Amino acid sequence: MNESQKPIIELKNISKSFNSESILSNFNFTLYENKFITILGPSGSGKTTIIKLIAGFESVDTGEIILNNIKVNNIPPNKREVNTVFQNYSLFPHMTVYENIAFGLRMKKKNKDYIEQAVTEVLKMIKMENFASRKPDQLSGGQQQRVAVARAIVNKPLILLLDEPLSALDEKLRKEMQVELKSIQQDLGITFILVTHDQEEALSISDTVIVLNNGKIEQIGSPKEIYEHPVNSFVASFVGELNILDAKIKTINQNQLTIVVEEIYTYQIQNKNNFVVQDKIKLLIRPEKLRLALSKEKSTSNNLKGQIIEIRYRGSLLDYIILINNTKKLTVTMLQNKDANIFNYNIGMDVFVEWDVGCEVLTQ
Amino acid sequence: MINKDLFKYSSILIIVFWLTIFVIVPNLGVLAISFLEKGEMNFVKFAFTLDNYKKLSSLMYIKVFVKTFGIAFYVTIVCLLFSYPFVYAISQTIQNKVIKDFLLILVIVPFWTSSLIRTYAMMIVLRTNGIINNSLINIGFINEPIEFLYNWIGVSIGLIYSLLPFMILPLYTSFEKFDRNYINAAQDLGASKINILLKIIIPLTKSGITSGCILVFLSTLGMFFIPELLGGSKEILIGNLIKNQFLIARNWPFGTAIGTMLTIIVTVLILFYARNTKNTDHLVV
Repeated sequence: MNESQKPIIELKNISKSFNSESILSNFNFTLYENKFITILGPSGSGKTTIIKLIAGFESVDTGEIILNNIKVNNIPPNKREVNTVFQNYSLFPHMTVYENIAFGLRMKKKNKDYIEQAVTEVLKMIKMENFASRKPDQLSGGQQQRVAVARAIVNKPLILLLDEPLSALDEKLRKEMQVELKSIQQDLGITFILVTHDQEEALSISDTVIVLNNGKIEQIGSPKEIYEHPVNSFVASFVGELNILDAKIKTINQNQLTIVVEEIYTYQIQNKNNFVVQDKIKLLIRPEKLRLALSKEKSTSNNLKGQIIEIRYRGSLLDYIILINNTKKLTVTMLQNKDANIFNYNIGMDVFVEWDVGCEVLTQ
Repeated sequence: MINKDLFKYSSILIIVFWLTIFVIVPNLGVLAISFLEKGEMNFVKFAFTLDNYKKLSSLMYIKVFVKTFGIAFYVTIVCLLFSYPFVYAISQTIQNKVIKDFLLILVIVPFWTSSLIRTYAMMIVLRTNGIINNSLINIGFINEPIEFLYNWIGVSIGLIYSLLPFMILPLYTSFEKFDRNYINAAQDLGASKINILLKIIIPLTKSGITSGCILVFLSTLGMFFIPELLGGSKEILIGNLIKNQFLIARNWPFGTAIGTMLTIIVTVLILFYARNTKNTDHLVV
């Protein structure tokens, strides 16, 4: 994130509770212009509440919301320069597609020619010029979704808020809409804040991902940072599949850590965290970073010995479940290609699980 | 399949049979009698005449028609203005289900008592030394009792009181279907409160408004005991006119002619309304 840019929205020390149950407490973040930002979190993490606070449908208990350098705490939703795409779209059923899209501009008393031109333009953008006179109930789910986006962006808001807009669509349509949303965002240069619980969506669509849990930000970063370098096991396991191994710090020599994994295997790893000797830590590693080998390879690889107890077929991928130490199960995901087929791994075989140093993440 | 068809046709046939005997035949009878002469012995004399309709076109009767439609219109509007905010409040702003149900039951409770008895009760409340006048005098708000009874004030109060539930219940049904998210969406798009009401809430509860208005309007047209009890014999509506022809003047042919005329006017109004709303649905662009 480029700190020299001016912030488009700042949330300062926000607290919010419903029925004396705290949803957000002491919540802070600052976002910069022209980005596709995703707030990712499980249900109940407070992500929709953030959207509602920014849109103005809920008011903060304490703290400040600063939109484009103006404090908007007391500005009602109809006067805020943000627009929302609602989870259930909320298209007005008694209006045509055209009227729905024109609604915001009409409320702002824009002149007729301007409205006509702006609506036609966004209809073209969402490829629905021929549907202008249809009513929402005559549209498919994907088309309704497009109209909901068009109805919001036609107002040229500073920020477009999207509240789980794709959750009602089927898998294929959802993928298409993700691509479309991303390209609309790039064309318009408007900041999008998307709320989702779908980690794949968050990773594929965003410039910045904010991982939320229990009303607290766990990590802010690019999709790659979030996936490759999660700060803790919550983020790591929420954004993808994960193997968690128990480990212990044996010695620290300047920046070199010597750790014991699963009480048997000893490795040397760079110390990026502030661990001390005897700390019990977790070694996190993604299944696709692991490889199988029949014999122990070069000493540069880390490896664990285990037995294949299950093989799951996933089309282009294969999941091998490996039992380590007779107690711990590891998942190894391998691409189904010619190379992998050379060894025919079968259930019951003894194998070595390897990974390259640096692929793993150590957390407390 | 045969069983299903048997069920379908038998249930439809029963209703058709019922409606034929108790609605279509009597109405045809009313229509027929309205073209007959008044009989000295048997209520009607089997001789064709248009006199009943000619008599209706006299100024005195036209005045009653105009007055009745005016009152019905006025009662409908007042009922709508009272009910709409009330229904909006109970269906949209009150979250507590118990309070909601309680308020709705308050609306329905009067139905458990005959409306005739309720109208007599209204007389006790409204009369010169009734509850309202006595209380107002006791607190020194007025010196002389207000004349509520035997004038249009009494008739209006009575009509509005007894017809209010007919407005509230259909409105409530359409407000229950109304999704609050539309209000959020409109607000998000910059709509002011008044625009949200005019452009979103009213259009989306139109079906409730229409059926409530039709129910109240039609019920007022046919009312006779409320004007009679609360308005005395001075203020009469079409309902009283018809009742008097049957029970007092014993002029069945004229009574049926008034009834037929009323039916025709109402039918024309409803057809006109139905055509208009259909057209506007298409016209809105």
